[in-house]
Amino acid sequence: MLQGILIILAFVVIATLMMTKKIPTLLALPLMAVVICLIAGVPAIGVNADGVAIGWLQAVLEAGTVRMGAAIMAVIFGSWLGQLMNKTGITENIIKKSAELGGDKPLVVTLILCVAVALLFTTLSGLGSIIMVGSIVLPILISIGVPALSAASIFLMSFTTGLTFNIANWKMFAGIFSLDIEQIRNFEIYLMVATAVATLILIFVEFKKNGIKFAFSAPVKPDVKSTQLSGVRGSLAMLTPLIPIVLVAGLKVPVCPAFMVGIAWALIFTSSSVAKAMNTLTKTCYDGITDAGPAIILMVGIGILYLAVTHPMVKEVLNPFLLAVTPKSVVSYILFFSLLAPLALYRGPMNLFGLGSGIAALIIGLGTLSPLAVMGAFLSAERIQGCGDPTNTQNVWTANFCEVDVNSITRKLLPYLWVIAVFGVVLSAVLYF
Amino acid sequence: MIKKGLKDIKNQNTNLIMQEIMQARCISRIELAQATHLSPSTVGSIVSDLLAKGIIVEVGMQTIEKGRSRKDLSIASDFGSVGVFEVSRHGVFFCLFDMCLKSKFSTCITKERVTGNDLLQVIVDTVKQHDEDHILGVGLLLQDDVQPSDLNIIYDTGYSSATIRLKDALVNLLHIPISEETCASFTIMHALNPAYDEKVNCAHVMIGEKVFTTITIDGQKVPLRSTFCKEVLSDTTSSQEVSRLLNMLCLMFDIQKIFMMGVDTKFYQSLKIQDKDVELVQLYQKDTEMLTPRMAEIVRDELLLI
Repeated sequence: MLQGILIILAFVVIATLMMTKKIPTLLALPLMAVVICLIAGVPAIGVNADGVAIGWLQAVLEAGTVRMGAAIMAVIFGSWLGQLMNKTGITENIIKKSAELGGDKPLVVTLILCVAVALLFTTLSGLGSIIMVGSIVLPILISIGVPALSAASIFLMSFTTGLTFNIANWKMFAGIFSLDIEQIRNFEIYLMVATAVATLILIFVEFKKNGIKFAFSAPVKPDVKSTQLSGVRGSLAMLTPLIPIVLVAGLKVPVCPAFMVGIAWALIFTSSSVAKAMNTLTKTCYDGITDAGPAIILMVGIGILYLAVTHPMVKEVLNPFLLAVTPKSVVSYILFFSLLAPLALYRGPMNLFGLGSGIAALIIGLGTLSPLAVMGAFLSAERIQGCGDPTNTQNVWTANFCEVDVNSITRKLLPYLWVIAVFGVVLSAVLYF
Repeated sequence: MIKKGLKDIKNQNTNLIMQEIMQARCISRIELAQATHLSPSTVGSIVSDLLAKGIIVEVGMQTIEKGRSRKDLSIASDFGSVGVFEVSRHGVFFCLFDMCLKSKFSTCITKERVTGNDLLQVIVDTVKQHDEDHILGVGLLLQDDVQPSDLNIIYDTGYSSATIRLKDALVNLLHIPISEETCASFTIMHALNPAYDEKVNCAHVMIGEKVFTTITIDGQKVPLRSTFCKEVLSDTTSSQEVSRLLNMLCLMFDIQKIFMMGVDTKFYQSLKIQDKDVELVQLYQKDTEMLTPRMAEIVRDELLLI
C-alpha cells in the first residue's frame, strides 16, 4: 500500500517537474522508470527463479533502450524518405502544383492544399518538414485572404489528418500497445475520416465567418533555386508519399522495406545521374537521422518507462490502485476517457509521446481492458495532442510564422479535436469494449 | 499550368522597371520605357505606384528635353536597410547598407567563435539594436570554416525540442527575408558572373583537401572527368605541381583567365604560367570588401522584386 502511494506520488512529482519545464521529457521518463523500480523494491541486478534477469539495470534500463527498436528504425527510415522528398523538390512541387490546380477560387485552393498537406504528412515528419511545407502553404493561404489564425489552424488540422496515416507512428503505437500494425491501421482509418471531416467543417466555418471573397491566382513565387519536376518522371516522383502507405496498408509489406522502396522510387524518378543520386542518398540519410534525433531519444525513454511499469514487481504494487480507477463498464469507459482526453495537452498523462505510454502499458497489464480498447482510448486522445498542444514545436513554429498567439490556435482547435476524441472513444467502446 | 492574371502581368512589368532602375541607379521615365519596351503610360502608372510606396524617388535636377521636363528616378536610399552578417570561426562581422547599397555602418560583433543558439541570439540582438534603421532583409555570408553543425539551432518549446537551421530560426523570429551563401560558392558564382566581366573562357581552380577544377568555354561548362586533377597532380600540391596543372589546362583549352582559390598570396605569386596571354587571378575568400556589398545587393534585389 505504502509503496503504491509512493509510486503515485513520484509519478505526480516528476510529471509536475516535466509539465513545469523543470526537467525535459527525455530525462523525466527514464528517471520515473528508475524511481518506480526503486520504490517497488526491484533490485539493480538480479535474476528470478528461471534465471531471467529482473534487475532494473538489465531488465528496465538496458532492455528498455531497445524495446522500441522497431519503431525507432521506422522513424529513421521515414525521416530519411522525408528528407529525400524535401531535397529533391518532391514536397515543394506537390504543394505548388496543388496551388496551381486550385486556380482563382480561394476555397478550392484551400481544400486542395489541405489534401496535399495531409498526403505529405503521411510520410514526412519532424519540425524541418513542417517548416518546409508551412513556409510555402501558409503564405499562399494568407495571400488568398485567409486570416493568419485561420490559416495556421487549417494547416495544423491538415497536418494532423495526415498524421493518422503516418506509418512510422503506426509502428510506434504498435510497440506501445503490443498490437499488430493492421490493428492500429484499422482504427486510424476511422480517426482519419473523423479528422478530415472536422478539418472540412473548420474550413467552411472559417470561410463563412471571415467572408473570404478574394478571387485571384494564388501567387506562387517562382524560386530560382527550387527543383522543377516535370513530365512523366516528375509525375511519378510526386507519387512518392503514397508508396509506403500502399505497400504497408494495402499489401502488408513490413514498414522498413516499404520506406526503402519509397526511397528508391524517389531517387529513380528525380536523379539525373547515379553519382548525384548516391550523393543525395547519403546526405539525406545523415540529415534524416539528425531530424529524427528528438523522436528517437523520446522512444528510448518510452521503452524504459514501459518496461518499468510492466515489471512484475511494480505491477504487483500498482495493480490494486489501478483496479480501483480503471473503468469497468462501457459508460464509465466512455466518460472516463472522453473527459480525460485533454490531459494529453502539456505532456500530460494521456500523452502517448510521454507519460501516457507508461499509463497505457499499466492499464493493459492490469488485464481489465483489452489492449485494443486501451489503444482506441489513447489514440483518440492523441488527436488532441497532435495539433492542439501549444507545447508542440509545430504549433509554436506555425504560430510564430503567422504572428499569432500559440494559445489562440489551441482555443480555436480544441472544440474540434475534443469532438474527434469523443467520437474515437465512443467508437472504441463499440468496437473493442 | 500557371494561370496569369492582370496582377501577375503588372508584377512582371514592375519587376522589369525595378531591375532597370537598380541597374542604372538613375534613369528617367522615357529611358525606362525604351529599355523595358513598355508603353510610357504603363511605365508612368507603375512609377507612380512605386513613388507612392516610397520605394523610388525622383532625384537630380529637372532637365528639359525636346520641350518636356524630365526627372530621374532612383531607389529611395531611406526606404529601409539591408544587413549582412559575415560568420566565421574567428568571429562575426556586421555591415549595414541603405537601399542604394551605400555602407551605413560596419562593426565586428565578436572575435570569438559563436555557433548554434548563441549565434542566433547575436544576430537577433544586432538586428533589434538597429530597429530605427528599419532592416528589411538580412544576408548571411558564411566563411568556409563554418561547419554545417555550427548552424544547427535547438528550437525548444520547453516541453519538446527539435533541431532546425539558423536561417529558418531567423525567419521565424525576425519575419524578414534571410539569404544565406557560403563565401566559396558565392565567390565562384560572382567571379564567373559575366555581369562582372566580359564573357571570357576561364578556368577555376580551388585548392583545398582536394583540388577542384571547372572550365567554362563560351559560357558553357566543359565536362571533366572527376579524376582529372588526381591524374595530373601527384599527392602533394606544391606550387610546381599546381603550375604544371595550370599549364596543362592552357594547352588543352583556349583559356583567357584562371581564377585561383584556396591559396595564400605567397603560393599564388610562386605559380608560373607559360602562356603570357593567360591572366591568373587570385580570389579572396575572406575579401569582405568585395563579397559583402554583393551579398547586400542580392538581398536588396530580392526585397524589391515581387
